[in-house]
Amino acid sequence: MKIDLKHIAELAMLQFDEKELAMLETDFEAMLSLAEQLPISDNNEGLIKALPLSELRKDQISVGMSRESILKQAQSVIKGYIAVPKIMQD
Amino acid sequence: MYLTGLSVSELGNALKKREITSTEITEAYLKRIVEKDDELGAYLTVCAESALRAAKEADPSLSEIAGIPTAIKDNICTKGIATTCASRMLSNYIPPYNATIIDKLISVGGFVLGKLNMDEFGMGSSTEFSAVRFTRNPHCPTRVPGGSSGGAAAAVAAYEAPYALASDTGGSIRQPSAFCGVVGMKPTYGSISRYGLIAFASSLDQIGPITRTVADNRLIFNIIRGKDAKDATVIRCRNEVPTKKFGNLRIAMISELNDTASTDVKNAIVQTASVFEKCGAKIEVLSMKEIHSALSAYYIISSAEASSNLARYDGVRYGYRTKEYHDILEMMVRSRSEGFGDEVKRRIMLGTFVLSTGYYDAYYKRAKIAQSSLITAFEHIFDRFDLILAPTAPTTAFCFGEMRTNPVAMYRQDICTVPASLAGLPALSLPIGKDHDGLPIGAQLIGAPFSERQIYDTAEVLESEICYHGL
Repeated sequence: MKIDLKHIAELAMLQFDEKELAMLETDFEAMLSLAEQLPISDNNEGLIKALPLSELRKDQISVGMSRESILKQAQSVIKGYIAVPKIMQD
Repeated sequence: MYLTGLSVSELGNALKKREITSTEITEAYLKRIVEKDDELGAYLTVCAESALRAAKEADPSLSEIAGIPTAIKDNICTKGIATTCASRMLSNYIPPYNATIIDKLISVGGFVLGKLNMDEFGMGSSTEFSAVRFTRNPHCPTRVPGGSSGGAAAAVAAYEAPYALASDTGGSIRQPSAFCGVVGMKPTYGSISRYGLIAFASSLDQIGPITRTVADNRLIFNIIRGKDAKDATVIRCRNEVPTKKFGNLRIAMISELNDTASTDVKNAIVQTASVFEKCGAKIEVLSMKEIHSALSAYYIISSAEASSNLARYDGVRYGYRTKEYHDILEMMVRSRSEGFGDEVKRRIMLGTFVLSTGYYDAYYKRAKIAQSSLITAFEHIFDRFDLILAPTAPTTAFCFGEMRTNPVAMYRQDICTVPASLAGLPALSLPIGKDHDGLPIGAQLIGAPFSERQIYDTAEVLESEICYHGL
């Protein structure tokens, strides 16, 4: 099976050079050969177990983190907003 | 060495009797860190100033651990203290909030001594994938401490911390505990809040304590467990059921797990089984064919969840942002590519692939079905048995570089720990002996959901019978 790693990298928002891609290809072959031990799926989705549901909390408004403490983490802040490169074209 | 050599329970008692002070304990540990950690490499951050301040204000009457410092794996958020996941991506991240378990510890008089090294984002079994530094095994400096909580297990084993809090997704508490000769618990999924634990694979991640004794481990577990409005997966703990006496236990061993073990590990497990038999417990060796698909199911499910969880790191709101970019897409892609290390990128790629159109059924769905079969198989075992005894890892600590370039060989190290992770079961690793090189060997006690009390009761007896000597 030939996997289009460039396409997967695009989906994952990652970039690799040709050398890295070649190494990834070898790793993928080894990793996916492990998966051959998995039982064959026969459309038995019902067999997949869900986690038990816990008691949910009430939907109430409470005090969260301060705006200032969150903005402190950002690389670039302009007038109290997190700044990113221009998204819309002129 | 006197103060750092005491267990958490001993420190707590001495504090209550006013024989020692919290400042003396904290100073003793800080001195030990200064003396040892350059070589060991367990810590990423040492909070000397804030720890000494907290020690000065400590009130030993608050709880059994009040006035005793703790070290925390660097993927658990600590307010105002860098929390990096040992990744370039979060190298400047200082959380504006505490994880729930940190708040719980502080509320009973605990405080943070420092943050501990790990494989980046918890992905690895040797701590070699830390973007910051290697951590050495305290028993042999040319060998790894295990991973991903290698810093935590090494710090506790080397008397650089009285106890540590870490996380376990597929064995990250248990395997390093086995490699370093300490006690590590991965509790039942849903028994401890993960609010503030930086997510790797949310359906598997669990927080637990690493300690030098079983009694200490139980003490810390009982403090940090329990409901939290901020983590909906925490369910009411039901482990108040009466436990069985050691001699009345029915213990299962799984041949597929024993078969993975090296001769020394196998012999130590057989000897541990003989301790059970000597005391009257019943031991039976079973076959569990579902184990064969556990490793691949684990790597598919955990990587799929990681690819989704780590999508948040895009250089926008927090974390690493690349210096050179022309537009927002380039900024995100370059930030992620430069910020993540090789192993993290490998798993994001694998996770993205198994969730992508055309491959979901062939990989992710099959893995989830294999996980369900494994859970059912465990349920059948616990209908007839109280606990499972198994190796924690197939080998003792391996050398640096031995597996680093072969991801699948490294993944195979996790074969004994991933089954309990996939089934959400509690599993404790405790030291049961040493191999011919003097390296620690660990055994796991795996129980039914919420059977921590039975596990701790049993492990305490084993600990006293085996008389393992640490460093």
